[in-house]
Amino acid sequence: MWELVIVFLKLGLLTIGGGIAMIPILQDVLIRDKKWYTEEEFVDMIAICQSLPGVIAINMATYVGYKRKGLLGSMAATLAIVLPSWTIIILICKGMAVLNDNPYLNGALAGFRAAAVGLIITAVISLGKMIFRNTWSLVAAVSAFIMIVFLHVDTALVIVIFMVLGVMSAAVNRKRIVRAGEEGTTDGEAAQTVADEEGGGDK
Amino acid sequence: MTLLNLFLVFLKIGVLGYGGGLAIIALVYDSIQQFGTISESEFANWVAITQVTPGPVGLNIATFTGYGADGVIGSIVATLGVALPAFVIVSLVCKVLFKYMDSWGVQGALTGVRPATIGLVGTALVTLVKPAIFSESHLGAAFVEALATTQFDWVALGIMAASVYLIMKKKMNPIIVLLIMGAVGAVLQA
Repeated sequence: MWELVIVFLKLGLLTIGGGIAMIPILQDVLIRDKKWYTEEEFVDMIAICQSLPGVIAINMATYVGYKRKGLLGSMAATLAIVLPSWTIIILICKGMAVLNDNPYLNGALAGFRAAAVGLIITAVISLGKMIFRNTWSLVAAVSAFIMIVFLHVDTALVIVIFMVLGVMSAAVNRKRIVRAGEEGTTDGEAAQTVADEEGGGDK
Repeated sequence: MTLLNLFLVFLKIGVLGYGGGLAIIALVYDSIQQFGTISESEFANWVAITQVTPGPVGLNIATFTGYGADGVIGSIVATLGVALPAFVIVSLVCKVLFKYMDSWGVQGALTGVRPATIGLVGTALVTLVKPAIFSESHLGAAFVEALATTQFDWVALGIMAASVYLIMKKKMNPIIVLLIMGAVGAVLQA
């Protein structure tokens, strides 16, 4: 449990510019360091947390905490991620204008910000490596990006669209498998199957 | 009464705020008008501060607004309000989801959403590149406009590229990389 709290205290302190910048750090801790998650589980975590409403950082903290230690774990992780930023903002509000005008601190924050962009780039690259297995996933990622950034489609709507597409292709795929009489296959790679026609739904 | 109101307002933001931090800014601005004293430029300042201070932007904005409305207690109430829906929803979903993780429906939905995830992360990238790499970019300025009119911050770009290199190629711990880059920023600025 303490591991969980310490991990998320660190994340709360070092997350600049939103929860997405947490991804590479989480990845490092959860997959490489603590070995709590496999790559697949990690990608699922990101996908689920982005699909649900709410502040993404909280979503991820709750998810990881819950998966690790149940409801108590999710509470601990959530509080841990809230605490550092809350404390810092209160200090700023309390009239720490000194801090605000300190050139060293401002420089450090600028450095943090630039590095955070770097972190998000690594998030895109490493998630890409885990997710891009076929043409469909590449097309889907690019079109989701275009829809949100250029066409200003609501993020929630984009998520729902892709969810429905995924379920539909899984349903179609499932029928096909049932019809073909293949037993004991799972539909995990449904979209992949649709993309390359004959590669059955087995893992 | 203010406290209850504050809690309810941020509860609403927590439920509706979709896609994380920066997406909820407009929603916050509209919702906090009832607390009266906040002008648009003041709010823009807050947003700027919450973006450069550590911690998720959504939480930072809640803390800031809560403090402005009702001191430390207000900040606690607002922060809890914005965090609570996410916490409850994710806990409930986890409880159900982990049971049906292997069903075709859940797997299908996940298969559909997984690639979109990258699109969303890319969106966060676009939002964040602006304040980090282009100096003097204004809140809400169009990305292309920022490209065309503002000064390019080469140092920030270098820090960014170095971070990617150290994490991806040198397999360095991202937390260490952040700390190094913070130190580099402090030295260069002074």
